[in-house]
Amino acid sequence: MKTQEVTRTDAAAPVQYLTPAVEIVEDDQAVYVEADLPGVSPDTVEVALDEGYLTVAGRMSDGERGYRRRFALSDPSQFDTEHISAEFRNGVLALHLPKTPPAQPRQIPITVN
Amino acid sequence: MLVHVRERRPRADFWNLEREVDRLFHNFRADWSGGSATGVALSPDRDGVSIRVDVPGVEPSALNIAVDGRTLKISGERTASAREGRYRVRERRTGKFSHAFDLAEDLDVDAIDAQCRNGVLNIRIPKRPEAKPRQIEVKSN
Repeated sequence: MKTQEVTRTDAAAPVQYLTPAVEIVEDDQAVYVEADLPGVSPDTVEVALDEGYLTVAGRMSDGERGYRRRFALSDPSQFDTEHISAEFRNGVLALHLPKTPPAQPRQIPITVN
Repeated sequence: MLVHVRERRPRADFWNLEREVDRLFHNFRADWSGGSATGVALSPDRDGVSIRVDVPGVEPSALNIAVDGRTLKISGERTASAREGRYRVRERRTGKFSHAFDLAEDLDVDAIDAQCRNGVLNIRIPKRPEAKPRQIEVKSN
C-alpha cells in the first residue's frame, strides 16, 4: 500500500494516509463499493461525493494514521446521489450508490380521423 | 536483541487476489501495488508482546485463536463477496488465512488477551511475572 503525507489544517500533526484495498461491483441498479479500513475509528469515517469525485477516508484511534482513497466517476449524473448509503462494520466501509432509474418511455397518443 | 515472538511463514497459498480495473472508476493512485502485507505487526516491549493482525470484514466470532504448547495460532476466513454483477475493481484478499507464532519461554501463555474491534485483532501476551524486569532495592546501613 502506498502512503501519502497530507497536512490537515485543523490538526497539529500531519496524518499519514494509507491507500485502502477496495472492491467495486456494478449491476443495473447500483454500484457497490467496499473499502477495507481496519483499525479506523467509526466516528472518523468520511464519505464525500463532490464534483464527480467519490472520496472515502477514516482515521485510526492514534490520530496519526488513516486510510484515504479517491475515485473519479466517469459519469456522475447516472447516480441518485440523494440515496447513497454507507455502512461501516468490522473495519469495512460498504457503500451503496443507486443509479438513477432510466426515464420512462413516453407514449404518444395517435389520433385517427 | 531478544526476540520473544517469531512468526512462522504465513500460508499465502490460501489468499486470492484478483485485480481488474475498468474505465468506470479511475483510481487516483492507480499504481497501488496490492502489497504483500498481511497486516501483521509484532511489538515487543519491556513487559510482553503485542500482536496486531488486520482482519477487515471478519466477524470476531469467526476468528480462531489457539495456543498449542508454545505456539500461538490465529486463523479465520474472509468470505468473498457473493454479489452478482460486473466487478470493476477487486483488490481485497479473501479466503482462509492463518498465522502461527512461536512464543519464547518468558511469555505467559496463560495470560493471553485477545480483542477484536473494527477489523483489527489485538493480542497481548505479557511476560511471566518472574521474567519481568524488577527493581532491586539497595539497602544501606
